[in-house]
Amino acid sequence: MAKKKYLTADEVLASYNKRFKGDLIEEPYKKSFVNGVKKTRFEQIFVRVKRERFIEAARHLASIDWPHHTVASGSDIGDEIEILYHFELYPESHGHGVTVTIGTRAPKSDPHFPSLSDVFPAVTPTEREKQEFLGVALDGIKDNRRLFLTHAVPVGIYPWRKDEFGPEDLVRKVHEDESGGSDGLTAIADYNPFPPGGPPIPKKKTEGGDA
Amino acid sequence: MAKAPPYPLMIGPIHPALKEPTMFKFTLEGERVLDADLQPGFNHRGIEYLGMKRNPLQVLHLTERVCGICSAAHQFVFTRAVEHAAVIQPTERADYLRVLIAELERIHSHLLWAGVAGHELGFDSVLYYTWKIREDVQDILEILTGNRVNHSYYIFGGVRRDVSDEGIAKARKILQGYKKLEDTVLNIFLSDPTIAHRTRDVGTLTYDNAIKLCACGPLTRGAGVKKDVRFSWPCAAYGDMKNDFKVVIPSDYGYPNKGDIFSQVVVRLHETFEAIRMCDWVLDNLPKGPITSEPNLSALLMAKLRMAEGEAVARVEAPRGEDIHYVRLKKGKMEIDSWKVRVPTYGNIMSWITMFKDAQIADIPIIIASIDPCIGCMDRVTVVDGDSGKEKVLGMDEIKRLADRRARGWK
Repeated sequence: MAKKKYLTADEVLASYNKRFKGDLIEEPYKKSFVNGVKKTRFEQIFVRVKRERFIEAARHLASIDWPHHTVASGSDIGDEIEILYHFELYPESHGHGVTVTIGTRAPKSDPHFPSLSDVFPAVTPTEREKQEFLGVALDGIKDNRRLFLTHAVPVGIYPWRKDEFGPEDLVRKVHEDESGGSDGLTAIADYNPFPPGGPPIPKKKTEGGDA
Repeated sequence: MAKAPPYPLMIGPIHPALKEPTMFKFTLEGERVLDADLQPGFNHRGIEYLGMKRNPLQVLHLTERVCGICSAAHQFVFTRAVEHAAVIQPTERADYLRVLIAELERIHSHLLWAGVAGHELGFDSVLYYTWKIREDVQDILEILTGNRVNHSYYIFGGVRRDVSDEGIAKARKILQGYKKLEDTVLNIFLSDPTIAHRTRDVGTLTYDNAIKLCACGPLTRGAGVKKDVRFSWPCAAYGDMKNDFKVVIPSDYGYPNKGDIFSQVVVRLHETFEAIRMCDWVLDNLPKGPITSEPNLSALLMAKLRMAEGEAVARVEAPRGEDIHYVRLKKGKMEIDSWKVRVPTYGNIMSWITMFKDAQIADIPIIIASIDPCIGCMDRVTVVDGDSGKEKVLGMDEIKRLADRRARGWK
C-alpha cells in the first residue's frame, strides 16, 4: 500500500489562506503544544470564513482528506453569533492528526447559517442543538426538530444567548412557579417527545423600544 | 392474509438501561425493527450554561459531574483545553500521572460494561464475576487519588496529589493480579456459545457507516476503523508511549472486523488488558519532578486564568470514545466565555440509530447497552399496537423470556 501523504497544520493553513483570501473573518492561526518527556508536538488550527463561502470551506477540508467530525460549538459574541465546527484530519493516522476548527459568524438580525449536512451527514444532531440553544436557523438542515430541550423551555428562550433572549428569567423562576411549565414533573406528564418545527428566528427589538 | 402494518414501539424516557433518561421510538414490523429514532434531553442539566457563569477552577469540579463513569476523562480534557487556551504547561510527571488515572478509569469502565452486557444477555454470572474483579481497580484509584468515583485529581498545570512509593507498589501488585486473569476473562466472553450467538451479526455498524457518520470509540474500532485519539493526536504521556502500543481492532486478535456487538466485546476486552500494560508502562517510566507547574491556586486563578485570552480544543480518548471540550477565555473576565462539551455517546447518536435496523425486539436491550457502558437494567417496554391503538406493557420478565427464546432459536 502506498504511503499516505499527510499535510501538516501549516500546509492546511496555507491552503485556506490561499483559497479564501479576502473572505476570511480573521487571520487563520495555529496553536501547537508539546507534552511528555519526548516533547511530542500536536497542533490545532482555527479558520473563520465568511458565511457566503462557508460550505465551500467545509468542502475544501473534505477534499484534503475525509475528516472526523466531532461537534459544533456556538456562542453569542455580542452583535453576532458564531458557530465553530471541530474536525480532525487523519484520525486513523499514528500521530499525524490535525485538529481543525472552521467557523463562521452571522449577525443577530439575520441569524441564518448554511447547514453542513450535505457535506457531512454526521453534523445533524449538533446542528439541531445549535438551533435550539442559540436561536439560529441552519438552512438546509436534514432534521428540524429540537434535540435536547423539552417544551418546558418555551420557544423564544435560547439558553446560550447572552442578550434579552437568554434564559435568565426562566432560571430565576424555576423554584418559584410550581404550576408553570418549568416544573419537571409537569413537563414529563404531558411531554410531546417530538415537538414539531425548529426555533423561529427572533426579531430584533426596535432601538430604544420599551421593555 | 394481509400483512400487518408497521407499528411504533417507544422505549423510555425513564429507562434504567440508559445512563440518562432517553426516548427511543422504533418502527416495527412483527419483531423486526424497520426504523429507529432517538429523543434525548430528558436529563439535560445545562452544565455548559452553569460553566459559563463560573471561573475555570469552579468548573473543574463541575466537569467531573458530566459523567459518573468517565469523570476523570472529563477533568483531563477540560484541564487540557484550559491549559491550551491560557498557555499553561503541565509538568512531565503530571503528564504521566494523568495518563495513569485515565487508563485505570478505562479498565474499570470496560469491566463495568462487560458485566452489564452479560446481564443484558441473561448471563448474570458474568456480571458478578466482572464486577467482583472491577473492585480491585477501584481500590487502586482509591489508593492513588483518595476517591473511587470523582477523583478530583487533575488541576491546571498538573495534578493535585503525588503518588507514594507504597501506593505504586500496591497498584503494581493489583495490576499483576489482573494479568493472571486475562486468559480467564477472554475465555469467558469470547469462547462462550451463548454470548457468541446473541452478539454475532447483531447491531452491526459497517465500516462505511462508521467513517461516514464519524463514529468514535470502541464502536468504530469494532468495525476496523483505527480511530483513537490517544494515537492520532497524542497529548500528555500518550505521545511518549504511542510507538509501544497500537490501536486495538479485532483483526489483530484473529477476529473479523465486522462491526457487530461481538467485535465491540473483542475490542473492549483487549483494550482493558492493553490499558493494564499501559499503566505498567507509565509506572516503569514515571519521571521525577514536581506534580504541578503552579501550586499556588490563587496565583493560578488571578494571574494566569483571569488574564488569559484565547481559545482551544482538547480531545482525549475516554473509555467510551472521544471526548472533546472547547473553551474560550476572555482577558479580565473570571468566567469562562464559551464552553462546549461533547461526550462520546453524543458523537455516536447517528451510528447508533443505524445499528438498530433489521434487529429483533429481543436484541434492542443489548444494542442499547452495546455503545454505552453506564447502564443498569431493563425496566419495561410499552408496545403500542398501531392498528387498534391498544397498549400492552412488556415487563422485564416478558423481555427476558423473549431474550431466552431468542437465545434458544425461538423454541
